[in-house]
Amino acid sequence: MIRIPLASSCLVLSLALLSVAADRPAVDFVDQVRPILQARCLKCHGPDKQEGGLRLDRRDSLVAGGDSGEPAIRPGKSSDSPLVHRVLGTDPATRMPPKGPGLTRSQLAVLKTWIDRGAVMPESSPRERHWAFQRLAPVAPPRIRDPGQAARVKNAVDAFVFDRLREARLAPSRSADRRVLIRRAALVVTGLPPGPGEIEAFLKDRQPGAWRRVIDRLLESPRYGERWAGHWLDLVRFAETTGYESNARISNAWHYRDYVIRALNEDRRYDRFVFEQLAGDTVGEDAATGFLVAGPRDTVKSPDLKLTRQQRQDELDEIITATGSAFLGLTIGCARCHSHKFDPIPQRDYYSVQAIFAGVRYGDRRIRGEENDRWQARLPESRARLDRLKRQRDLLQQQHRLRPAIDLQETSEKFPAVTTRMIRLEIHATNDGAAARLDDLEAWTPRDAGPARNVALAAAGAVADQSSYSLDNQSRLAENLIDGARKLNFFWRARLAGPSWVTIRFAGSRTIDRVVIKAMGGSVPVDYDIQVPDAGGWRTIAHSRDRMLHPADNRKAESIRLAGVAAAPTAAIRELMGRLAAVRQEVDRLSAGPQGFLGRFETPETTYRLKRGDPLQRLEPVLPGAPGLLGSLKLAAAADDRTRRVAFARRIAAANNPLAARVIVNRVWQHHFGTGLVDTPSDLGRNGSRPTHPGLLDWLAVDFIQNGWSLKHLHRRILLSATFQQSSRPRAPALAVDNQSRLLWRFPPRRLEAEVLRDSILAVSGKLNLRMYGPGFDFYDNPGNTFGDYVAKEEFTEAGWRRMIYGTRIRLQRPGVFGAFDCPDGGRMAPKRSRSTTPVQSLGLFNSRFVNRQAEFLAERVRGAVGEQIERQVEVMVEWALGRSADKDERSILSGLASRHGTAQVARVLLNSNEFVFLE
Amino acid sequence: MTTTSISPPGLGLLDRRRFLGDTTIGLGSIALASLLQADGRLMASPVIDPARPSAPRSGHHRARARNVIVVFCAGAFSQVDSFDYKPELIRRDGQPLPGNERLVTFQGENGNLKRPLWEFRPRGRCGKMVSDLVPFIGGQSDRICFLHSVTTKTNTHGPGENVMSTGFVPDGFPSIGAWSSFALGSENQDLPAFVAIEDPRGNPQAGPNNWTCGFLPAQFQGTPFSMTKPVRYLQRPRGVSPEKDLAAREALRRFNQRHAERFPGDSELLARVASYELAARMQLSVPGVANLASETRETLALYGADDPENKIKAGFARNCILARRLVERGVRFVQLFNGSYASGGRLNWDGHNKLKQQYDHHAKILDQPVAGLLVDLARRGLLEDTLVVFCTEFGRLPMFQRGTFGRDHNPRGFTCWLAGAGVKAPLSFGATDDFSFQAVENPASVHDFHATILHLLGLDHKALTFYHNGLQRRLTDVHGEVLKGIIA
Repeated sequence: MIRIPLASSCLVLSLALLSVAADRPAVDFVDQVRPILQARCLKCHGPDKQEGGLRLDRRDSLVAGGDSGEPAIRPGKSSDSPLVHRVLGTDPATRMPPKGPGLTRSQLAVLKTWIDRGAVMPESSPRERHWAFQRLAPVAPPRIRDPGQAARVKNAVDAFVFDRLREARLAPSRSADRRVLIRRAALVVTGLPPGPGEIEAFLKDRQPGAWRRVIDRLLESPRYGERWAGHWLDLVRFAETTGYESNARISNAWHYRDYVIRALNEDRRYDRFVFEQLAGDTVGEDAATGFLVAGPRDTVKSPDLKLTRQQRQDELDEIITATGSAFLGLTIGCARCHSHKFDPIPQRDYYSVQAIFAGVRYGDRRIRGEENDRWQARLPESRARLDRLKRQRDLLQQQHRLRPAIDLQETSEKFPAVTTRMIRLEIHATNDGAAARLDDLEAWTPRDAGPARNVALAAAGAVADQSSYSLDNQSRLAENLIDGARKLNFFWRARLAGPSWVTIRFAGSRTIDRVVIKAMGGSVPVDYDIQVPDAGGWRTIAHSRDRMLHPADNRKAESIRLAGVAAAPTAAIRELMGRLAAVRQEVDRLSAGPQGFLGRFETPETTYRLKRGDPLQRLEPVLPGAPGLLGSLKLAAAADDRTRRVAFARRIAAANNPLAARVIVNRVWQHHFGTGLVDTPSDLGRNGSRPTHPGLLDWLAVDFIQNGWSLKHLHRRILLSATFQQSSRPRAPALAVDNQSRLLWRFPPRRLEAEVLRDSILAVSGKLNLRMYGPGFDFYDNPGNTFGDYVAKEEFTEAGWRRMIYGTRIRLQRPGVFGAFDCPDGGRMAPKRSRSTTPVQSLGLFNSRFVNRQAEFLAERVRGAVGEQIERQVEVMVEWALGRSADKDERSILSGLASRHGTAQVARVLLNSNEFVFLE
Repeated sequence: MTTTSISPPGLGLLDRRRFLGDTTIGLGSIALASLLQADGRLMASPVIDPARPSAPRSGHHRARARNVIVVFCAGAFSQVDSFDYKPELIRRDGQPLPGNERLVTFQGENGNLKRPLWEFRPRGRCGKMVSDLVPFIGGQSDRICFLHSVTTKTNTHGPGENVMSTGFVPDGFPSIGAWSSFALGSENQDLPAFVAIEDPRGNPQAGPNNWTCGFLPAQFQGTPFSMTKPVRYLQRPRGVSPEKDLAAREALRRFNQRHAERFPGDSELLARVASYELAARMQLSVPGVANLASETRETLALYGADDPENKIKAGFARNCILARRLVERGVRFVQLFNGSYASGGRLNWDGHNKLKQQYDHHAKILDQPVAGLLVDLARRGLLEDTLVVFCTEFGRLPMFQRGTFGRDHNPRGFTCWLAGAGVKAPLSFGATDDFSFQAVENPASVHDFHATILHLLGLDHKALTFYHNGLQRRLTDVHGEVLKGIIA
């Protein structure tokens, strides 16, 4: 009987198999259907070629369909199956097959019956049931027969690795010596070299369990979270600017970076870690959702509908792709325009996942927790102060018989009805002294004669004019005042600061009793007259000088005119308003609470499947859901944002989702050994590579889940293995067979990442600043002008000597000396870094001010520790930098350099040496 | 020495990889390499010797062009006012664009048709109509193959620059220069294979994304430098004498040699040693290539590099001479930027608000130096194997915007041009409608444009791939056709 795999292609398939099992199919696929497909279809829609993105030799692709996004067959419904329609078709342009005669009647009957009976297609070989989608099951580690090797087996990892080596007629390498081992472990686990004391302690510890004690200490160090957070941030394309052309800074995105470091240090269960990044707001982990909005986005908005829809679609695609890659190792993004060419992801699934995130918007959100509670506790007192100031204001307002202040968004001026062809707004001053700016200006008819009407509308024949307008990239004409809509991109702005005016001429004579000034929060007119024509001049019918001052009115007291108020009391009012503004700002800040760039959650917009991914070509609406291969989420169209994300996050982080554990276990392996067991770490689908050690990957995944999804447990498994502890020295015969060391006949050596290099240089020079968390330090001198260049900093002080993980990540830039060492730029996800060698790297490491200064610090530090004797200084410097003592030749090379050119040059050489830069 | 493939085998090699994964790990990569070579697929991912990543490599077919110089006009250069002559537009000046009255585009609503702000005249022996905005370039029309029907996917600057330089709207994909040096290496081992020359006024809007290696290895990143901005960290550190520097370098070499003895045959270690040697040679060769002392007064005058009145023009002209000197020395790919970041059109070609004044200013900087470059390349025989590409992120509309004296963005049809190696000239290929509003004849996407440039370099844009994050990526994504009609 056919086993129904948990992660089989889709639910439909499982049901079909069940029903068919009860009612034996009348048509056999292998004997009857396949010959027809083979003869007439597979040449264009088979394994070699997929016209229209469609292949007909696999059931999941038949059900998913091709580029059209429509299924080719609907099992059980031949009459509703496009394949049948095309085969039956009379239009020669669309009929299939396009060449030769059509299918015979009996062939058609076979096809239709087969579809109506559920389109049963036996998986012809286990290979076709793709390995990564299969349920995780316990795997027994192989037995190692060679007694020598069996004695070296420390845990199951070794059993799998040694067994695979045996198949390739290779043997593991001997164990590396302890100095190499502790350096390797420290660099891999914490990203910093071990100190001389730590090395010494390990060398002296001859008790059993010495290695385990080293590992435990490293994993408990807060440096561990800092190191491994780097891998995660690479993967999830985290950076602290928007990207694209404005690439503006996001000053509070670092909360997410801190969350990752904390979660790793606390060994947060990985399933929980995944859940929190998708829906942490529902469980009090607000900072975790920074994941959703960690990617780049185009912030340049336009009134062009096509562009606006495309931008939103690109934002959502960014989130979908990141989620699929990071947590599932699936290229869901491929199904944006058509059904996936290799994996069972119909185009519809892509849009179901999009619907999960349809409520997610880029923006700030409150971070609840202790700090927020502290702020809230301070709020009543600040509010009380604000109330006191408001009462004083009201008192002064009454005392001087003033009307309430203008509003920064919308101020209404009522006056006795007047009949006029035209109004004029004469502006004497704005609140911030800049050129006046207004969005709309309305003139309303009285209410007594039916409902009031705004007559200052271009649509009603009104015409606007202005004293001046500024020449920007968009129109700043006064005609924007009467466009009848709050189109915030389209407003009037005077060319220069200082007095200005606008007029609106109505279509004819109009009676009005109210004018509404719609401003934009800044550059708001605060001293103005509303006028009508009168005897060749202008007569004021309302003005602002009998209004109370607004707290945001920045004018100097001397330049303020208030009707009937003398200079001294005006100054007193101005002073009070200044205080009021400050306190109000504080109240606003406290009540908003600490804000992080973690995404805002809104009511989800309706999601449509899009024809070929084009946002202007909407097809049917789509319900929220997970990719079908994970099963249905049973969500309704009405499900709110929170419900959607929670259901989705639970499914992704479920123990019976075989992808989540396989993907993370492989990533962790990759960062230990340089390459994953699967070397396509974000694609475990059919188009990805197969694992070098399938049994080991599954064994580790099962073990990981059984041990509470603990990453530290997983690290221990790997670090305690004999495989990890092998020497990295090359052996020519083994190299000839496996020159990438993928089978792990040695520990594969590799160049260290940029962060490890910089941090290690600072650690050795003694300048490393271990301050954790909070806003990052800067690699650039300029403050991050939206439209300007980021200029790399050359000089750093203590703040800039923190670990590189705390350097603010500027998208599109690769910082200073170290960016050249294959630092990702945050533009795309980086599940694995390239590892290149370039002269630009060498120039930076050898010549930069940064490295040479640290070399001087190292030289000074050594001199301070051991005194003036040069040979001794050289010896100690080698020990500190490389964790070992120099041999005779090396001493002679370096002492020679030191005596003629100073020990700083020795330090410079050591910090540039291959041994310092490589993980051995 | 062991040679390793930088790119993991991908899509096309799937079955082979499974085969290897299942049965023949024991054969290892030597077997893999020969297996792939046997069926001629190797070039899909160039095989790169880590010790000489910039070694010259041959392409898929015979190359027509050895080097490329891209002149990139940042800010969106107006084809309406320069190369795309439309008598009907002049006749209908002041009337609405038929069928598109009050069209809403990037910056909002547009006004009526506006004729070119400069007069068009016949130029060269071919009589190509080019406006007085760029008379020097117009004078070179006989050497130029104009593409009047280029279209792009976006009407925003940053994404537009991304598309023109990398083929994709989002950030982070490798630029065409990175793809080219990845595929072909360089003819000169003492200079970077790919150089990005910034405008004297600053970086373009998409900045370093224009010359990024994206997910390709870092050695294929463009090295930014210009006559005003030297290569970073090229000089030895302050206070370190040449003798001291040499002694440290020598000590490092010997120290590394000792280390390498413990890892015989490790190509990465050797590559690092080699990179210090290359760095040392760059310290000599880069100042050499950027030293214009050997250029004659006549040459400087040809480019306008001697203009005492216009410092920016002289600076850009000197960058043009630098570009010539780089390709002369075998540098594979040079990007030469004209115009910098968003500034309301003050510092680049983004003429939304006062196009006439701004373009009069910008064109003086661009025109003579670029024409000088063409003349100089030709008379030195360099134009035979150097392809000069003139491009911009998109064009501009034939209308003025409402409320401004300039034109909004136009991705539906604009002009780029090619000159030199392997292209027909004089030629005008493709056309927009009567108003220069949208491409109607032989529309050419940026993917087609890229496919053609790669083709001239001897590369098949469909075969040049690199595996990243689950996909076998290409410069041209899943699109692109070589514009066969323009190839000589």
